[in-house]
Amino acid sequence: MALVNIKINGQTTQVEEGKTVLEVLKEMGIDVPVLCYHPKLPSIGACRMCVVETRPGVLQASCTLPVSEGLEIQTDSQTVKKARKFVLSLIFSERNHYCMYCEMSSNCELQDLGYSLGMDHFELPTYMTKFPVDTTHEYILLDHNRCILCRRCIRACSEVAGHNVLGISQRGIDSMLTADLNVPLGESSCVSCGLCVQVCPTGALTDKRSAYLGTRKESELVKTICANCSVGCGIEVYKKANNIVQILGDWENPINNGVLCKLGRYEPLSDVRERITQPMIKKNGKLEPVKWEEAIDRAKEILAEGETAGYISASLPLEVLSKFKDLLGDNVGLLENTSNPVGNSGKLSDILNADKIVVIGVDLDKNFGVVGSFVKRAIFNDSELIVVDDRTNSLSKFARLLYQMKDLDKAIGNALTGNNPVIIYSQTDSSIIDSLSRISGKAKFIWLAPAPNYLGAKKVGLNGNIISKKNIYIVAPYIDKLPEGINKAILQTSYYTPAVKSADIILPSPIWLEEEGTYINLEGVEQRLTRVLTPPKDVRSNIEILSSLLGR
Amino acid sequence: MKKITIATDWLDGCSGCHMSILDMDERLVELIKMGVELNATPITDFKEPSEEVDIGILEGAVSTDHHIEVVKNMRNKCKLLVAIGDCAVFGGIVTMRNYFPVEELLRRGYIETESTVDGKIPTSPEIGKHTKLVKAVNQIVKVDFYIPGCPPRADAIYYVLRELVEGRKPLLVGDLLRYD
Repeated sequence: MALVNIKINGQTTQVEEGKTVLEVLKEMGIDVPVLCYHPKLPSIGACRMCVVETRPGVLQASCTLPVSEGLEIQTDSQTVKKARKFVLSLIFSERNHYCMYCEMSSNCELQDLGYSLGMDHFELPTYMTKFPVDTTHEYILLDHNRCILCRRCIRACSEVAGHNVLGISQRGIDSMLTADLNVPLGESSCVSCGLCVQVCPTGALTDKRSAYLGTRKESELVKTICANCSVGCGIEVYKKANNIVQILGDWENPINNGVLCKLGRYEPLSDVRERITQPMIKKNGKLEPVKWEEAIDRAKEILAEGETAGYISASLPLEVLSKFKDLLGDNVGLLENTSNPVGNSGKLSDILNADKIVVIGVDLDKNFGVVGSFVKRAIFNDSELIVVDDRTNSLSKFARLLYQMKDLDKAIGNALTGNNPVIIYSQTDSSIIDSLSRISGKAKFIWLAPAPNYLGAKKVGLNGNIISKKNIYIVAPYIDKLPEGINKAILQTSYYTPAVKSADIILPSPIWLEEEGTYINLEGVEQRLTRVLTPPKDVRSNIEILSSLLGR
Repeated sequence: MKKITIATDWLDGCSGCHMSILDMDERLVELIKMGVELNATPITDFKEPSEEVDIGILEGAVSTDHHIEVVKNMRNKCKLLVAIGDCAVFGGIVTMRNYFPVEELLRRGYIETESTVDGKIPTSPEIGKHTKLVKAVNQIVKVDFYIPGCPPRADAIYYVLRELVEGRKPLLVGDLLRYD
């Protein structure tokens, strides 16, 4: 990388060409206030907080100013200080920035700047217009009164998440953050990925479900992964008193780079399903709470008959899957059993470099939001999308071509005219597999595995069909139904369902946020799930339960 | 020893800032030992400031014609005027009513509230008349020092008073400068 000589506050220094002045100043540890700038978003130099003086009296936004040979900058001159404070007072004078009744107080970058620049009163009168508060969205609250029009949310929504929902309508003082063609957020094409909230520097965009649970500053941060689907996004969980305050996407995780979907960001905060919190045994046709020892002893008796088939969910950590196999040997099957003879040859990042993308029979916005985000970003960069689906598909409106399932081969044929085709699919019906097998090697395949740790389950050698036995033992956080004609059923599960009532032994187990262990995502990347929450008192870890059944 | 006289008054506020003044606890005594005299406050027997005081302190936003009078009166009588709390400093939570016409505000407050039966908008001349807009104190008169906060921390009030008593210019930084 070529070096250029620049002068910062009178000191000559060599820096890499291609960087912005702000990046260089940050690396040198020189404090520059920023507001519209975000390290993970493209810079637009909108707010002018980060101005530096390039010639006497000439101010330029450092976030968009590239370094160049001979550039001289002042970061701390009176002109710079005055300008920054003036910019801040202008922002405070527009709309409503009274902190005392804002839920984001002490979680707000605008407030932080007020403090650090010593703003102890307003020089300018405040602008007394009431702006709307948009409460229509299920998860996101949009308070226009708190908006400073920094456009971080817009850049996050379009250029990082790829959804292109947010924009600005009108001009100047009338500028308004707008969803689609000026519809309420809740009626817009928003897919609830929540990245706009994650980057909002003020209280304009907030998570409804995190409101009044506590600030991020007073919460404990745990970095882990989301175990809701096989993408395996990195998440940052803020927790307080064993409750989740907020979930943010982990910018540093190479799989999702900060982007999440509704399931990862909001589902854990919206979970109202009733938990099972103590072991139970069926006595006289009714489930009754018992001590763990009694439940384990009873389960051991049933297992000792040697007539038990085990089913486990591939949503559990590798260590649990492996332990279950230790317990029941070859009599173990996966609840999400399916076959995938084509195999995965692509990474999610390949979607971004594909010139043709075929999505077969899966609604990505609904079920694999982050993959949908990759596809939309690719479309933004001129990739061509081909959707093959008989049902309505939310990506159809972005597709260049739409095909019915019966015309799958035509769709694939078209894709192969590209240089870098990527094929995304989830089903494993033989008709689809046959078509895809024929073009093996000619395209990159991304198979959306049906469970978070499906590849982990395959790695420990868990497969589908097992011989049906007299009794059944199921390990899964959520079990909606039991097979017919079973004598005795042991359920190691987390939630009450109708299936729970017909079981004979209930062993309460943790949900994924209370678990830890190894997961292998759909790309084959091995990641660690870190425990976030402490499970309820009488819930034992899956490993602990299986170990006591193994007698160790 | 020459006394340093302090007078305080409140406008459209919740008296929370005055609670913060009391929250200085034994440091109030300390200030008095240093020569401070509390000349008049709404929470002492004497309410009306003397003709000349050294430091005037105002809590609350300017919301009625009476408040304007109080503010001007205090400004005329004091050498240094300190606005304390978000309402006096910025207008604060009281400015929420700027989004509604005064008539609607009074109707809602005195007649339409769910718990009100046979309500009536008070018309006594003893009660100030609402101005069209709520303002911060510095939109009416010159303010010399500001202590924002809702309420301002007792530490911040103590720091500012002590600096002023000892003849220095206070500058709020770190935890002393808060808007909530």
